[in-house]
Parts: sequence; structure tokens; C-alpha cells
Amino acid sequence: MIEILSQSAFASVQDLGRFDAVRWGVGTAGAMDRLALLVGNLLLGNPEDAAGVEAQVFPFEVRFEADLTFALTGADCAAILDGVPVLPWASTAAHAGQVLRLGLPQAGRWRGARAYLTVAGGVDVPMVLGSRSTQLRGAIGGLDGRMLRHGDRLPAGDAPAATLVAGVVPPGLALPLEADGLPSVRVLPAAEYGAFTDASLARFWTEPWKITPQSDRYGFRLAGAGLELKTQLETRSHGIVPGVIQVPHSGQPIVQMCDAQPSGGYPKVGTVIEADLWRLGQMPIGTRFRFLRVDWEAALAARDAVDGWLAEVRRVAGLLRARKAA
Amino acid sequence: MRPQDVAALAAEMAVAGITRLELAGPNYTLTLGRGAAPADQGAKSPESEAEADLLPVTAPALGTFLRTHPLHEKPLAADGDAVVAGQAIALLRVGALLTPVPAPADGLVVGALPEEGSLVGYGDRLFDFLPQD
Amino acid sequence: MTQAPAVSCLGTSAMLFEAPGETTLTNQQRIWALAREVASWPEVREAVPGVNNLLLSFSAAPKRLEPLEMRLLGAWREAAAMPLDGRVIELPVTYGGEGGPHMADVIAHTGLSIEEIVAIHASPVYPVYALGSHPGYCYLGGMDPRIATPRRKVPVIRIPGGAVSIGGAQTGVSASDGPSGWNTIGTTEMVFFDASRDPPVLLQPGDSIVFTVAEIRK
Repeated sequence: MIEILSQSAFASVQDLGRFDAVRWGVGTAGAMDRLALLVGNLLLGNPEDAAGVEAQVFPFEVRFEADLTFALTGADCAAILDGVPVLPWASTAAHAGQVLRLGLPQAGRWRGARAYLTVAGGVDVPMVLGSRSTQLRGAIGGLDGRMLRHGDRLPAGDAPAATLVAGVVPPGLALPLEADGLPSVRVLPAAEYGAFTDASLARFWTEPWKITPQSDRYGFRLAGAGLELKTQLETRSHGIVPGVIQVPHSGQPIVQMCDAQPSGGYPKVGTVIEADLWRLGQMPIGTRFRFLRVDWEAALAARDAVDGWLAEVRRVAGLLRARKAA
Repeated sequence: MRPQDVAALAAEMAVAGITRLELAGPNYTLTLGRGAAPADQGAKSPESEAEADLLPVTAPALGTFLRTHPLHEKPLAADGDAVVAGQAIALLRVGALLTPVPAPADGLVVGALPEEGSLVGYGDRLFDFLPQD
Repeated sequence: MTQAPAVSCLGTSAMLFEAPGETTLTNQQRIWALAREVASWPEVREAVPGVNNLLLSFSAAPKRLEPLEMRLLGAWREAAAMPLDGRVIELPVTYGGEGGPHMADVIAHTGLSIEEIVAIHASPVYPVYALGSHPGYCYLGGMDPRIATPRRKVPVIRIPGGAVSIGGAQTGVSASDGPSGWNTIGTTEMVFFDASRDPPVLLQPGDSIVFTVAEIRK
């Protein structure tokens, strides 16, 4: 069992997301940084889609009620286990009774906003509609379909004996993406792209955008040079996915994120490519970043680069297990 | 004499190539040795006595020697830092993989031998370490 | 003016098909047929009908979009309207009162009395066009334009599940607590979504709703 010690931490149980239920009106939810969750699971020898805890507000504290191995990925929060520093993006052994404390995300060589705690065996809450991710609207999945609270106890699944502890170089360093010194994400234009004025589109690609405080798992509200439509467009509701950049009347875009409702009607200027959603999910409030226009081929190449990096992590995780078994 | 002083002294010994040093003060005897225990223990005062051997820390694997995690600005453990047994004091990098080098006991990191970023082999001596009770 | 369907991509995650023309029951029946056909394609993870549109999420993003686009347009040309032969569910509604906090705004906008509004609202059989927005929520067709009332300027942060509302020319019932910019005129107690059931939803595209008047509270 893992006991949550923090109050109102905006933390929740997430896995890689809930798919195949969008036709029921159920959004995907899941980790805002899927890569981080996945790597935590790989380091522990878990199934890749095992559930972990996503923490968004810090400090964040848990107590381990049993001996187990855990991994911390995502934002580096200068974590401490009973007073001893814990390596980020690595697995660590913990004993029953030890307290893990995550501090504020560090402004080091790469800065994140969300941290992921995975445990050997995974967080063992029931699967609902094929996933353990927390779906807040409708209160399904995760722990009772809600954010975690002080006193909550999460079951950890059965796990083999402590994994050989090791770490990886995080993707924020291994797969950098910047434009003019600012972090960036790649975007494919969407259906209503041509409905915006050329001048405002030019600014969309060249000016930085800022993540306002009104940003969370539902969506990131951005501030910057506004987008203007050539003519008024009718609002028509259709299915959307995380990454869709909607433009309401104000002209200030909203990027739909993991907990966004699965349909929307505002004009869409583009969609952040799936391969870069983790980058966006890790940008703290106040970040200034750039949108980079890509075509279909470049978007697939970006996906291949992430897949290639993951394949390397899978390979070294496999070597670790072989080394340990030997 | 404070633990940090002992560590600093040991570091000086390493630089100077001195393998054994005995100090006697009003109420202490301090013997510092590097490597195997000396054949004779020398005179010991019946009062408080401090005898310490530096422990070598060797590479558990091959890799690029890093005292600082790629995400960090400062080393995991600087010279003179007190650490606990098992705490990572360096990393060995091979591609995407970072293998931690754990402290062998509770104690002080005295000094590192390889340069930051140099390639080390399995068993290479990485640190001098001063264990403490 | 004849329009062609519009096909676009939503990043590398999905493709969106938007049918031309007005939203009609016949068009929507063709969307259902298209969804059924497309759901069996190997590239498609899930086919999600919307109102006059279809979202298909990729199981794996294809190397090239054009062949899939062509196939989709061809399937649309072939799509024959699926029959509307689903279930008809009766929803008893308590109109007005505490459960209908915005009935007064509908009265003010339409100039009709509460009895007239209720009679008009509870008269049609509403086909379920699509699900979306939140778990179990149904997009309904067939509302009488006489009671159309614009969406609220300031959305309500939280209206309860079961809220019966009018937004523009549409009506719908919330399946769970959440924000809404529509005008809530009544409340019903039906359960629209239960994750432990298979399927987890009460209503699917092709089913229909009939509102019955349980009570009118002034």
C-alpha cells in the first residue's frame, strides 16, 4: 500500500489512457506525459500500461507501507526518501515505513511540471473500460474516479523482488526541441486553418505563446498575438483529441489536453502532434514556447524518433533484467 | 578535528601520493591509510582513538563517469559530503542507461579519481571513501 | 450550392470527416452507416459518430493520408441510411422549479408560457444522433425551433446530472455533474452511463428519447 500524505495535491492515478470508449462520450484521460509514465514502468519491469501516480502540485509526500521498488520520472523534484536524495528517472528500493517527499520541480538542464511515481507491480486499482486512468467527469477509474487526498491508500500490485536499480537519461535531454531558445512543439494544421487571416497565422508560427494560470489537465489557455478569422464560422460539434488547438471568440487559443471533453465546436487552427504532447504536458504555467509547423511526413518522423528512443530504453531495461537474473 | 578536516587531509594525501599518515594530538591518535591495512598498527593511546582506512569505491560496470546527473547543475556528492550507505555518489553512462555508483557505507566522499566524462572500466577505482560509524 | 465532404486530420491521432449540408436525420443515418463500415478498417482504432460528422482515431498513423481519404469518400458515397430502429426510452421530466433554474430565460426569450414550452418540448420523438461531450451524453435531433433559446453568455460552473437543457436549437440531458452553457429547464432521474455495464451507455445512436411530463413546477 502507498499512503498519500499530502493535502489536495491535484494528484491522480493514471495509466497511458482509456481508448475505445470515446464513442460513449468518454475521453482518454491518462498521463499528461505518457513517456515518463512508460519509462517508469520499463525501469521496474512492469507492463508498459501499468498505472502510476501523477503529481502536479508540490511538495508531494507518500509513505510506503511495504518494501517495494519505485521509480520517479517526469519533473525532477529533488526527491528525498527518509532524508536521502533519490535519483530522478531511475528506480529506487524503499522499505516499509519510509516517506518519499517530492519538492518543487527543479530549474535544471530541463524543467518539467508533472512528476510520475510508478511502483513495481503497478498501482492496482480496478480497470474500468480497459484502463485505470482517472476520468473525473463521471467519476470512473483511478481511485473512486477522483483526485487523491490525504489518507488515501493505493494498493501496489504483486511484484518480483527488487529490480536492479538504474536510471535513464530523460527524453527532455535526449530529444531536445527548441526554436530561438524556447521550448517548442510541432503542429499539423487543422480543418479551419485556412479560415484564419494570413497575418494572424504568420504570428501564430513565429511569436511565442505563454501558458496562462488557467491551464490544467482539461486544457492549456494560451496568451499571445491573437488569431483572427476572415469570416464568422458556425460552431459545429465534432470529436476532438488531446492536442487540438481551438480558437474561441477571443482569438486566444486553448490546447485541449488529456481531460478535455471528447467533442468541441470552436474553430481549430491545428493539432499538436501526438509525439510532442508530453513536451507540452511538462511545460509549467508561465512557460513561453513556440509552435512549429510540420507536414504529415515530418510528424511521422517525430513519432519514429520517440519510438526509437523508447526502443533503446526497452533494450537497456531488458539488459538490466538479464544482468540481474545472471 | 572535524570529519571534514579528515576528508580534506585524506584528499591531500591522495594528491601527494602518501599512503599512510599517523597523527597524534593531546587526546587523539589518528591513523589514515590508503589500500590494505598496514602490517603494524603502531602505538595507540589508551584514550579515545580514531583509526580509519579509506575505502576504495570501484566501478560496478563500464561507462562514462559522471559525478553530476545530466539534469543537475551540482554533483550528486561533492568532496567532503556526508552520504549514507547505498546513496548514489556518481553515475556510469552507456547510451541511454545510467548505472548508479552507490556509497559503500555511511561516510564521506573524499575524492574522485577519474575525470568527469571519462570512460571507466568495470572494477576501476572511482572514489576514495571514508566510512563513518 | 453543392458542397463536398471535408476530410482533415487531427494531428497524427485521428481523421475527421464532415458531411456537407444541413444536419438532417437522413444524413445522420448515413453517418451511422459510414461509422459501421469504417470501424472494421485495420487503420482505424475507433469510429466515433458526431452530428453530421465522423471521427476515426488511428490504431497506427498511416504512411500516407490520401489513400485513406479516398477510401473514406468512397465509403460515404456508398453509405445507405441505416434504419432508425433502436429503442425508444421515456424520460419523465420535472419541468421548472429548482431543477429548471433557467426556465424563466426561455420564457422571456420565446414569449411563450411555461405550459406551452413544456408541451412543445415534450412533444417530439428525439432521435439520438451521437454521443459525446461527457460519458453517456446524447446529442439529440428534432427539437422544435419555437423554443430555441441562445446559449448563456456566462456558462454555469456546475449543473447536476439529469439536467434537461436547451442550447440554441438543440436540447439535451446531462449525464453527470459538470459545466454547461445551456438553459436548464427541468430535471430527470435516468441513469445514462454505468461503466460496469456492457455497453456502458443507456442510449446509442439510433435510439430515441421521448420526454414525458412528470410535473410542472412554477
